[in-house]
Amino acid sequence: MIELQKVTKIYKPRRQREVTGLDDVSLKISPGEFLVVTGRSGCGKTTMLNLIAGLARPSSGKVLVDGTDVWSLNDEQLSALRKEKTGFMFQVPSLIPVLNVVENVMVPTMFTAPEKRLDAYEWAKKALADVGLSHKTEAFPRHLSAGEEKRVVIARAIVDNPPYLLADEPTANLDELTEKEVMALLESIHKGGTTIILVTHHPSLIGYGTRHLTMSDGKLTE
Amino acid sequence: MNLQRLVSESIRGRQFRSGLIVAFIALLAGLILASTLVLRGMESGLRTGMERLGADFISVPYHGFEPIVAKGALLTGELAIGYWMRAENLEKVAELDGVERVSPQIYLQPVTGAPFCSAEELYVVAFDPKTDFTIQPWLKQRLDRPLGLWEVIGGDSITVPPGTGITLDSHQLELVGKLLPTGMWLDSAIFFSLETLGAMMAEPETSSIIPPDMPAEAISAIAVKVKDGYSIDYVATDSLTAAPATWPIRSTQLMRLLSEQRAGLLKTLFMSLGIVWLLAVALTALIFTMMVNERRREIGMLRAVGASSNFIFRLFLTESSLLAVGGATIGIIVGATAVYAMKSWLTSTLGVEFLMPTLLGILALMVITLVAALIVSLPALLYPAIRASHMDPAEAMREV
Repeated sequence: MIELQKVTKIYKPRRQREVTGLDDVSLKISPGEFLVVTGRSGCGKTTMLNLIAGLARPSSGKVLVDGTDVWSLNDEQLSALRKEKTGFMFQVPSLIPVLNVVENVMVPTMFTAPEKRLDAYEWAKKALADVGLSHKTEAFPRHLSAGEEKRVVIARAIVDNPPYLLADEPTANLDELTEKEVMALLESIHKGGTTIILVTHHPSLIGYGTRHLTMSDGKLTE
Repeated sequence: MNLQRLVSESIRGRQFRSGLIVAFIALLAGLILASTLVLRGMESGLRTGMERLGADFISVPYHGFEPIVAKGALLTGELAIGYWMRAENLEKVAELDGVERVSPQIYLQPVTGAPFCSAEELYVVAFDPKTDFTIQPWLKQRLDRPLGLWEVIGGDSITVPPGTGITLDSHQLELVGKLLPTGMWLDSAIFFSLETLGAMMAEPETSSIIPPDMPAEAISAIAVKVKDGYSIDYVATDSLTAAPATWPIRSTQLMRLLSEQRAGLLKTLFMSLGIVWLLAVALTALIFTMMVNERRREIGMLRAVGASSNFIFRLFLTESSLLAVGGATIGIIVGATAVYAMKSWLTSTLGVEFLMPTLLGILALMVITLVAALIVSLPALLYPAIRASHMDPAEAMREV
C-alpha cells in the first residue's frame, strides 16, 4: 500500500514567491488499484508522483510505501526502495540517446543485485516483447516514433516487475490511436498485478482506471 | 549494463564534446611536459658543460665594452668572433704564478648552411691540439695521434661520419673525429689546428672563413687552468696586469650569468604555464558542468530507477577522469615528440644550451607529468560530479 499522510509540498523558487505544489493531501492506494488522477496543468499531479517515488521531499507530512516512511531512509536505502518498489514513466521519455533500445530498457537492472543481474538482457527483451517492440532492440531513440518511445519507457519501467507503476502523462503528445495502444498496454500490465497510479490532464483516460480522483490547486477530491 | 558500459557509451556517443575535452587536457599536459623537458634540457646542458669545462677562466679581448658580453666562453655559445688579442698574451699568462696550463683559441667566421651540418650556423675554430684541454675531452673516441694538417674534428651536429672528406670554403678537409653531444655551440662547430689555419692563410685565394681584418699573430681567447692550491681570483686578476686589454671571465661568473638568464626564462615559462593551466582548468570545468546540465533529465531518470547520489557521482567522475587520462596521455606523447623534433630550433631560438634527458629520464618525466596533469585537473573533474550527485531529481526532470 502507498499512503500519503497530510502531505504538503511547498516550492520556494529563487526570486519568486512560494508555490504550493501539494496542500495537506492524505491518500491511500491499495495494491492492485489503477488510480487515475486528473487535473489541469500545474495543479500538483507530477508533484504527487514525485513524492510517492521519493524523488521530492515533502515540506510536511509522511509518505509511506508498504509501511516504510520514505524519508526516514538514507540516500542509499531510498534509492534501493525506488528500485524495488516503483517503475516510473516520466512525461518526457528521457531515454539515454547514446544507448540503443534494449540497453535503455536494461538501465534499471544496473541497480539490481549482481547475482540477479545475469538475466538482465533476457528481462529487457521480454519487456520489449510485452510492449510489442521486439523488432527494435538495436534501434536508437532518435530512430523511434513518439509512440515507440513511450513503449520503450513502459518496458523500462516494468523490466524488473515493480509492484507499483507511476505514470506521468503517459499519452502526452500522442495521437489518438497511439494513445489507445499505450493505454491498452498499461491495462494489461495492471491485469498482471501491478498497481498503477496515472496522472493526466486528459479526462478521456478516466475510464481505464479502477478509481478516479481530481486534483486542483494541490488538493485531491473524489 | 553497468556503470562502465554507460560511461563508455556516453563517451563514444558524444564524440565532439569528448574530443574537445581530450584536446584541452592534452594541451595542458603537453605544455607542462614540454616546459619541463626544456628546463631539464637547459639544466643538463649547463651542468654537463660545467663538468667538462676544464678551464678555470678564459681570457678574452677587452675592447672597452662590457667584457661580460664578449664571453668567448665554452658555455654560452656566443663566441667573441671578430675580436682579437695579441698572441704574445698567451705566454704572458702562461708565465704567471699559479697557472698550470693555457691553450689558445681562434674564432673564425661562421658558415651559414653548411651541407654537412644540421645546424643553420657552423662555427669554425682553430686551436692548438697539443695544449688544448677544453675541446678534445669531448671526443667520442680519443685520437691515437695528434690532429694533422687539413684534419678536423666536428661537433655532434656534423652529419657525416669520421673518415669523410668535407669542403669548407674551397678547402678540402677530412673529418677524423666527432665530439659527444654537449648542448653547447661545440655541437655545431668544426675544429682544426693552428697549423691548418696557417696553411689556409697561406693560400692565395681569399677565404671567407678568415676575417679580412684579422691581425697577424692574433688569437681570440686563452683558456686557463689554475694550479691546485692557488686562488683562481688572484691568478685571474694577475692576468689583467700581465696581459692588458684582456679580461678574465671566471666559470662561476658564467654560471651566475646563465643562472640569471635561466631564471628569467623560467619565470616566463612558469607564468605562461600558470595562465594556460588556469584557463584550461576553468574551461574544462565549464565543459564538464555543461555536460552535467545537458544531462539533467538523464540524471533524474537514473535517480528514479534506483541510482543513488553516490552512483551519479561515480558515473560522472569516471567519465570525466577517463577523458582526462586520455587527453593527458596524448598530450605528453605529443609534447615529448615536439620537444625532441624542435631541439635544434629551441637551442638557436632560446639561445641557451639544451640537452635532451635520457630515454629513461623522459619516460619518468612523462609519468610525473601525467600524474601532475590529473592532479591539477582534479577540481575541474570533481565539481561537476558533485554537482550532478546533488541535483534534485524532481527538479532535474521538471526543467526542459
